[in-house]
Amino acid sequence: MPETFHDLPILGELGDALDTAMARETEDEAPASASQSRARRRFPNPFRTLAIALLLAGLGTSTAAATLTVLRGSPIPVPRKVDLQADMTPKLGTGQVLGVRADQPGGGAPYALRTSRSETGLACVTVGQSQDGRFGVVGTDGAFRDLPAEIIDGCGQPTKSAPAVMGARVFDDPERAAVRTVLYGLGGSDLERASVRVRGAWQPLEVTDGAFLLGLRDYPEDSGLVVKLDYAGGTSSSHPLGIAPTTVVDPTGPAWRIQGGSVAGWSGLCVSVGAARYDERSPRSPQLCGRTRGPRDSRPTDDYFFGARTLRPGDAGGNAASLGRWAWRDGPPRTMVYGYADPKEVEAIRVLGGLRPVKATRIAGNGQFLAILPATVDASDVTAELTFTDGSTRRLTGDQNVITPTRERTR
Amino acid sequence: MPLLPSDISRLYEAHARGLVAYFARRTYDAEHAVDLTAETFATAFRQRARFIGEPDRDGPRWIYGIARNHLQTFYRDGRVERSAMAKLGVERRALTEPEYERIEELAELATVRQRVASELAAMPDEQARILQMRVVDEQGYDEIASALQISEQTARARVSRALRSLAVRIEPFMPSEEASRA
Repeated sequence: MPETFHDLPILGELGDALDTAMARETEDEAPASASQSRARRRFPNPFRTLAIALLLAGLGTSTAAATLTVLRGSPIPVPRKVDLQADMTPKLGTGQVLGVRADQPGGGAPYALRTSRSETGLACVTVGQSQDGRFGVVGTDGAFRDLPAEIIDGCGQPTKSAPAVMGARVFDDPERAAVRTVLYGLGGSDLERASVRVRGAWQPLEVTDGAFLLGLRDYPEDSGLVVKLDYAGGTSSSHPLGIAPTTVVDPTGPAWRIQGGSVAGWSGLCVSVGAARYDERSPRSPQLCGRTRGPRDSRPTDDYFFGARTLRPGDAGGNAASLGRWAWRDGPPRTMVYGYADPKEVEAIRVLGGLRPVKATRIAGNGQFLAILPATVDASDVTAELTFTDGSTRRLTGDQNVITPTRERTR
Repeated sequence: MPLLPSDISRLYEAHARGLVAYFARRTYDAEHAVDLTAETFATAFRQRARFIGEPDRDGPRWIYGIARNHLQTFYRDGRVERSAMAKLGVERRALTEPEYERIEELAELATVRQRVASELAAMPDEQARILQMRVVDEQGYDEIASALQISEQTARARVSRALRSLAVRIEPFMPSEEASRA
């Protein structure tokens, strides 16, 4: 915070504390759902759980730290012992690079997995790359550097019939096209088969000694990863990785996020679409608003509202008076069909107009939905087919129940 | 468009001082005013995804909306809600004497106190007495009821009526929310 509080230093100090806290929180959110999936899904109850974010000094939750280190041209430092809990501290001499390898999309040193035992007996994993018999990481400068034994990505309780550790590790890069995600896991000694859904298509995972590894392009949420594990004895489990409830996987591009909000003093809902990995430069669609809440006045609410918009790079415009501006920026050309349909009234939504019908993705529980079509399908040609809970269907073309929030009811 | 942390920092820089004065005028307590201000911005950060509009144009009104909610909670519970600050791990030190004085100055509390005293003196005796018992002497409703030989429910109603009456009397002299925002 600037020195604008010279007469009230307490406000300057509080501002600094807020800034620090906000930076810390948003940093935790940045790898978005991937780190959430690590913390929440790698170590299912009742097994001991360890948040990977505790690895402050090492590669930690993403490769950001490693990337920066490598760019400086210095060796990757060993984390200070004081920064690690015993559960996350590998016991010296227990490290072993497994035989499992995964190709890097686009070429480069293959991905590899190192396991070790923590001082408390947990199974720990480090994702890296293998080159000339060494285990390390290739930086954005192209140089290979060893990953010290003390650097680990996560630890979990070794079991036979559940994953000890599983996650999606990002190898980040300033160029989005060079971003890679490595799906990895120690599935347990009784793991028989593993498969993964990537952008909606299932593919088998090669399992070696209970471990699996797969290199992918883009961020975890872009692939919409779901891992299915089948164990001896017939049990199986599914594990979504890097997918938030509001995330919608694009057929070919970056993942999207449906976002709903309301205008102060107005009984409605506004829905827009933005990049799942949001920052100031990411694309954002126009807001579509409908009367879904209330009643604050005597007018009835609508069971659904939606519209279709064809959006191309550089498109921008103004929303209704109270909603600011939108900009698609460098987002890929798409025709987006989005809005809201009351889950109690509308069971399913299909969008017609493209080569084949597209089923809309709905946020569980709150009714907001999105269907993604190529921009070659003009928004005016799109028809939405709504299937109602009473079994009836209705086909609707053009904006439905989309209204402009009025400011006279705002405070 | 959701608010970014940088937007919240900018709003804090522009409006933290005004908010402290706003809260101080309404709680008559500098410590509460600082806590409520911090809690307002911590809440704004936690709820930033709900914001719709242009940060610079619509942000101040949104911030003051959150501030009003916290003030209502304070009036209802008689204490400052600190959950958003706690979740962010934000703590603060005690105010220094010059900071107390500066906040009182910003809020023009001396003027407000004089006005309250003046309006209190002009109120009907029954209302002034019951406010004295409840607010100044901090007596419980059971004590007030016993002293005035009325039911506890009636005591609550009379205190409430007297507070509303006082609020109506001093409201014209209170700087408005718009003035705090400006």
